[in-house]
Amino acid sequence: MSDDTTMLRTFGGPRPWQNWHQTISGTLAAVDKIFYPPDRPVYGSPAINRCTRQIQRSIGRAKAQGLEHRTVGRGWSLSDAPLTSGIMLDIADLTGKKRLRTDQLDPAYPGNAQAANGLCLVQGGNYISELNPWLENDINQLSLRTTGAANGQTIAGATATGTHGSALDHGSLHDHIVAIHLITGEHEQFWLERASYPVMKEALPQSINAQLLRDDDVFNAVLMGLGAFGVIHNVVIEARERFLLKAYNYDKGHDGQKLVLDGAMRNRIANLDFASDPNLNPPNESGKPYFFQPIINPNTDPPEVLVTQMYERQWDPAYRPDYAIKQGTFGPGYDFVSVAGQALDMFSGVVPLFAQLVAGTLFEVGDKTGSWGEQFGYKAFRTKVASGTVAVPLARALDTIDLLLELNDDMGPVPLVLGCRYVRKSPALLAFNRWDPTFVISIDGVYNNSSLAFFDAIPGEMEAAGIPFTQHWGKTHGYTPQRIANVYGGDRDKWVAARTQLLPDPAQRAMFGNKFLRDLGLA
Amino acid sequence: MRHIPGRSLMLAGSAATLLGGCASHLIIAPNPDGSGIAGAPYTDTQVSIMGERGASSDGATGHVAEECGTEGMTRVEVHRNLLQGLVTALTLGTVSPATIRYQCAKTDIPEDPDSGSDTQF
Repeated sequence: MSDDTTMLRTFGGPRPWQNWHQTISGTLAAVDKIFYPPDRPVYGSPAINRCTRQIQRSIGRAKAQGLEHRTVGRGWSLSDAPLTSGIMLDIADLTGKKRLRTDQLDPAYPGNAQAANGLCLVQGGNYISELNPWLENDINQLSLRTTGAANGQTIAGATATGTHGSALDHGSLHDHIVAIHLITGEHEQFWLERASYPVMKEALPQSINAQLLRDDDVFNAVLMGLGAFGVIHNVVIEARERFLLKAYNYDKGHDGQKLVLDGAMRNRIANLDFASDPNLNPPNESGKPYFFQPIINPNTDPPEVLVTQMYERQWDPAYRPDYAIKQGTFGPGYDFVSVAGQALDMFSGVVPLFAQLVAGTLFEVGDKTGSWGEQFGYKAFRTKVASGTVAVPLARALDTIDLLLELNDDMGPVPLVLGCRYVRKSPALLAFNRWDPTFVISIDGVYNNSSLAFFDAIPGEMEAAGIPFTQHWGKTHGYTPQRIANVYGGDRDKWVAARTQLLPDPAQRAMFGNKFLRDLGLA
Repeated sequence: MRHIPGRSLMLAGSAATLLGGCASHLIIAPNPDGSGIAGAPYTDTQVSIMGERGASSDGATGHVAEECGTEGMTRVEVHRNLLQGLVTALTLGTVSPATIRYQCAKTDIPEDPDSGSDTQF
C-alpha cells in the first residue's frame, strides 16, 4: 500500500474535541492523524520527506475546503490556543529522534564542543516523557535543562505556548531550540535558524526540500508561534550533559516551625538570597540551588509555604533511572477535583481546610535523588484543574504576591495556591518570560466558579497597581489585543510581520489562524 | 413533618444509588506514552445486556481496537456517568452501559547513529 493510504488517516466530523485537562472543548471539522512510515525506516531525510508529504496533503485538504488547519500534540494546554473549527492535525506518532554529527554543522556554528555534542534533531510529536529517557540513556548521556512540572506535552506543543519550569539559570522549554523545520503550505517549507546562530550546513535543509532562512526576528517569532505559522515538523534542540538532581520537598525550617511568608521568606523569594537565613535551606545544603519553587497557601494565616529546592549532582555511572509511574502515586481521582470544586462553590468556608488536605495529598515531604526526567514525571489522571499564570519582573515579585493575597481576601477564599517560579528571559518575541529573570506565579487548584472569577479579576488588578505583567499562553489568561500591545509593544509587531513574511497569502494566514488568535488581534 | 425524614432518606438513598452507579477505572502502562486522536483517547461506548450472549452471560458488545494495529495499549479508562448509572440502576443491572477510552502505544522508530552524512540527516 502507498504512504498516502497508510500514513494519513482522517477521522471525519463534525467531531467533539476536549483538551487533555478537560477545560476546553469545541467541535472540529475533522482530525488528520499522521503515522510514521509503516516500514519503519531509520529517522533521517528520506523518512522526514515521507512524513512531510503527508502533512502537506493534510494542509492541501484544508486549503481546498477553506478550513482552518491546526496542529495538536497532546492537547495539554489549558487555554483555547489549540482549538480550531477546521482540521486538527495530530502528529503525536511522529517521534523520530537522532543526534547530529559535527560534520553536519555549519562552520560558523557558535556553540562550543559541549553544545555541539548536545545537538539533537527530534520530530514534533515527541512527548517530553519520550525525550527524557532517550536523552538520559547511556548512549546519549544528555538531559534537558528545564521542562514543565509534568512531562505530557509534545516538544512542538510546548514550543507553541511557552511551557516553563523553575530552573534558576534557564529559560523555557522552547529555549532549547536552535533550528525549526516549519511547513507552511502544500508546497512550501522552511528551515529556520537565527542569523546570529547558524547551526546546520545548507545541504541538510536542502535534503528535506526546505528553504533555509536565517533571520533572528523570524526565528524568534516562530519559536513562540502559538501554532500560527504552520506545522512544526522537526526541531533541533541543544541539550546539556546529563546530571542528577537532589530534590527536597519541605514545609518546616530547621527549627521545626512551619515555613510561612515572613520577612525571611519574602527576602528569599524576592532576592533569591539563599545565604542569609540557613533555616530556610534543607539540612546540609547551602548555596544557590538549580531549581527553587516556593508554593504559598493564601488560605492560612499567615500564609504557609511549601518549598521545593533541588541541587545539581554529578551523574553516577552506576545510576539507572526508573521513569515508570508507580502504583499508589495516582493522587485524587478523575472527578475528585471537579466535584470538590462545585462543593467548594457552595461551601466556601471549608476552602482552607480543603487546601490543607489537598496539599497533604499532593505534596510529599521528603527528599529524592533522580534525573531530570524522573523528577518531573508522569501524571496519571486526566483531571479538570484550574491553572493560570502571572509573570512579572522579579523586582515586582512581592507586590504581585501581596496583590494576589489581598484579592483572595476580597473575593475568596478561593481554592488555589500560588506557586512561585523563576525563568530567565527568552529571545522569543512573544515569550511571557520577558524579563531577566521573570518571576512567574503559577496559580493552580480547583476548577470552579470562584477560581475562574479570581483569574478574571487578576489582569485588571495588576493594571490598577501599575505592575507590568504577562500571562502563560497555554493557561487561563486575560489577554486582550490592548494588553498584548501594552506589554509586547514592538515585539508583537515584529511577530505579525514575520507571519506575513512566511505566510504571504492572506488565505494561508487565515488557514493557520483560529478564534484564539483573532480575538487577540494576532491573526 | 413526620414524612420529611422519610423523604430525605429516600432522596439520600436515590442519590447514593445514582452516585454509586458512577464509576471510573483506570489501567495504565508503567510508561504511558500512548496516543489517541488529537490528544484525546479513542472512545467506545459499550452496553452490557444480561442474556444478550446466552442465558448466563452478561457479555458486552465488544470492540476491536484496530487503531492500535500491532501495538499494545498504554491506557484504558472505563467510565460510567450519571445517566449510564441511572440506566444500570433502573434496570437492576441487566442493562449496563459504560464508556471506554484507550490509547495505543506509539511505534518504535529504529535508530542508527551512523546514518546520515554531511549532506543529509
